Amino acid sequence: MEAVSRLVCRAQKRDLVAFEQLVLIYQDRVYALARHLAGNPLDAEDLAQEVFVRAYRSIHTFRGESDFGTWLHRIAVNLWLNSRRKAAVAVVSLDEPVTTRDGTLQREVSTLEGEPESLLLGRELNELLQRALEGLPKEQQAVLVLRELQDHTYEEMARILNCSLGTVRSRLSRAREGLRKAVSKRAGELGVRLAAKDEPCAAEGAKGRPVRF
Amino acid sequence: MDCKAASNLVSGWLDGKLVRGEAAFLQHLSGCRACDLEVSELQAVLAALRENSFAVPAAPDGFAGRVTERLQTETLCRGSSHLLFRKFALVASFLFLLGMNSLLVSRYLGKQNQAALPPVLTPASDLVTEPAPPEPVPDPAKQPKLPAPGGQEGPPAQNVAEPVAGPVPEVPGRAAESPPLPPAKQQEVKRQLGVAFLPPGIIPDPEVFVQQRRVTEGVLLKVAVAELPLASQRLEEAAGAQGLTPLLASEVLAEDGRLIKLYRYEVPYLQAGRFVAETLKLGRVLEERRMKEDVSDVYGEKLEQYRQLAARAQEAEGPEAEELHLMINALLLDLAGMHSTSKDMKAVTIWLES
Repeated sequence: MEAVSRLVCRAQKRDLVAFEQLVLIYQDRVYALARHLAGNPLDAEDLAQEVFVRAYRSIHTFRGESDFGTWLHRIAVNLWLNSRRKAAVAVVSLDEPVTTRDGTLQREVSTLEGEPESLLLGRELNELLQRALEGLPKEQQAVLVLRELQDHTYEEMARILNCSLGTVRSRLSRAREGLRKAVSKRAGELGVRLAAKDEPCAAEGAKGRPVRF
Repeated sequence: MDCKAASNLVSGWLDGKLVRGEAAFLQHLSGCRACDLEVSELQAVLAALRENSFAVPAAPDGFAGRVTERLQTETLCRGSSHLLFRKFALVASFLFLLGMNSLLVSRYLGKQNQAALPPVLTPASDLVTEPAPPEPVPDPAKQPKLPAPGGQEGPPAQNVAEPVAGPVPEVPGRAAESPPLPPAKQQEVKRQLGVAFLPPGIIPDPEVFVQQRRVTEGVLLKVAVAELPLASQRLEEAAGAQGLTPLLASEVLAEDGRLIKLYRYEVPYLQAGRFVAETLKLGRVLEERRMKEDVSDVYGEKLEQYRQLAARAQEAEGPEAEELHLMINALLLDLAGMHSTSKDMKAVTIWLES
């Protein structure tokens, strides 16, 4: 982190070369968040670029009290929340190949096992989740992305969203419940179950154990 | 614990945040089928969300480069708060083309040495009566220190294979008054005009240069400083230490009452980076804009005007001839200015505000 601090100091003196190094360090994390928030690669790149441009413009206001990456995420979420467009939270399509620096990989879908009646096809599941998320208020979408897809802690989320821990807790709780209800409703319309009846109930199962559809 | 209380605890429990109330929560779930199912559903939904988003691709190739390119070229004029600066930027872009000529104005007109102006039009008098020797294609190797005009496309030496035939477009009443320039001075003026590669006595044909590509470069810096007078003094001292004097130094009163100081320098290309670095130390840089303008078309148009005026000047007499001469001189200054900033100089404009 010392190297990052040095680069930040140099960037604060308008050293663009140093700032480019910071971009290289954080670009994947910022792009990932932008991808989750913005919904498609083009909007994600626009958002991610805007994050770094805004960061460079206001880097003199960064005091080093929080992690630089957290600060960038805060800019990203704020930009996205303030954007007028109705942005969809991206649930990466199961059919979409994954492009990495090493090339393009076909996604391997291995989670859809189990009883046939409890399964949704990958595309349907993807659409169902995406629509359910899009139906939530943007603040709730953001908190879900930060927690579920970005694995941020409550404290980090509070810093990113500029709110108290209590607000993070309640907002996350409402978002999760809202998502569950939306998915459950849609699944009911499609005639599928969200959890198999013979699966161990939540109280008996291990905490956080993934339960398949 | 009732169902509502249990429902409020689910999210925290999933994140391991429920410590004291966990036993009561789990006890409720074990006895309440509805709540238990809801928790299972939620776990399933969140797991699916994670499963469907697990592999986020890395940032696209070239992403960082695109960001820095944007930062380099991003316009200064963003937002209504920069209205004044937007106006300034417009003015600056004009200055960028026009103001650069003031260097030559100060060099030539300022010295009242008008004889320095027309050598391209009126070369040394002996060459008027005695046409240039048949040395039509200059060898660049013979003149390694002299820049070729345009640069990128190479000198159009073949296009000036023949000295311009016919009478020299002599400026009435002026050639007689102006003694021929010393050869060294002639060469210096030719260098400024971008015709240094031409052998002595050959009059450049404007058509030759129309196709040249000329790109002028400049930097615009907006710096917030603690104390304006002090920063101005430091800037002038730093510039002076590098042998630079401002072409323009003026104060502007902004609409909100702030005082803004504007400076404009022409800096030798290779020195520009050092000078800009010095300027950045004056305070906090609010905006930094690098400008590049292709002035080829303007250059070509001015050359065409020059050609037409020079032709008219041959037949004009009296006040009309005087007027034409002034216009021709102005055109030559423009052309030389454009050439100098497209070859050797960078325009550096500095905005200081406290």
